[in-house]
Amino acid sequence: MTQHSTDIHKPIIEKAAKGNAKAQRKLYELYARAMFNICYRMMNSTEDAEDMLQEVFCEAFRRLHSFRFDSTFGAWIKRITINRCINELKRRKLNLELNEEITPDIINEEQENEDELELKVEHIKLAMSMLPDGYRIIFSLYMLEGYDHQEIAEIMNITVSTSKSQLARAKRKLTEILKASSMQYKLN
Amino acid sequence: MNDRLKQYIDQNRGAFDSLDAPIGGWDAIDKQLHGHKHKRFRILRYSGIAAAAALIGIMLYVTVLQPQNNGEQIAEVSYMSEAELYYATEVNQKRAQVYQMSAQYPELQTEMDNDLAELDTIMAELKRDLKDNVDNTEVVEAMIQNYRMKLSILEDIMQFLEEQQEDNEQTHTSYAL
Repeated sequence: MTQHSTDIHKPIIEKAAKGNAKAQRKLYELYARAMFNICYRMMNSTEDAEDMLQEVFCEAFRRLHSFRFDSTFGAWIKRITINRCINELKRRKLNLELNEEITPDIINEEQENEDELELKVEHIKLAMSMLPDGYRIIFSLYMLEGYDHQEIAEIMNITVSTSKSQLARAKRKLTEILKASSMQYKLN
Repeated sequence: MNDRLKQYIDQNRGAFDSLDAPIGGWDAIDKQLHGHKHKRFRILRYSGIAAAAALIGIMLYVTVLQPQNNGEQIAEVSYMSEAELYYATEVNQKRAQVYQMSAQYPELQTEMDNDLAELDTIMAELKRDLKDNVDNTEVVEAMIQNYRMKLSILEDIMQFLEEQQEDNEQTHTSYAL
């Protein structure tokens, strides 16, 4: 027998699944902010994020009758959000830059570079927006959305090794951007 | 492995969700998901209004051609005052009920108000005719018909809203084992 997740919003979800607009609106109000921020990190554009948010919730409510409480609603709609965004980016044929692997030496070198940096949320967010799409997505999925490399591999249709190596590249690139920004702040 | 960046992000995770969801976001979703239901009701409602206007228009046209006895006119006016009180009360009660039930359909409320206002315009003309003693029997009949049409429209809206509520409350959930 499958273990069902205890979702605190179960009554609202059940009503929403039957098409109750009021319940659907309540779910939207509960989860829109989190999903919008995920959309923004994936699409790197407010306008695109708004479009994707609408598509995500419409899809979620249309499919809600098939939601079996195997996970939380939040985890379920987060997965829909990410899949939708990635599909849209692929549809636009954007280069997600997911290719060769790198060696453990480079991973260690990145760690050293990170230790020198002063970290601030706004700087990291800005640096993320400057990453190439592929790096930004993997960085976001691992560092912010909490997926492990196995899950990222399934989402992105890549190997676990590629996920690890691309994350390392993304972190290195982000560190470079943060360092350059930090230098700029010091000079100014 | 000491991942300082990951630790920092984990400790400050909430700050990374700084953007607010777009204003009007729900309205767009609601329109996409439920817009057709509003459209269905609009068709229902327009047929009701059209029927009411046509009927009352015909009765107005007929009354102009018919002469009437003065004694009967006074009796009709008195009868109409009582009937008006009854129907006006009924209409107001049902309107209040519909407002309550249609809280999530503000556009429906606006359209209902517009349509009832059209019937109010016709009613104003009928009252002028009654005052001018233009064939009171037919005018009174038309006025009563006006009220009945308003009630019919409000009852149609209530039935529609009740059906929507029933659809939403029906149980279809099943869990996988």
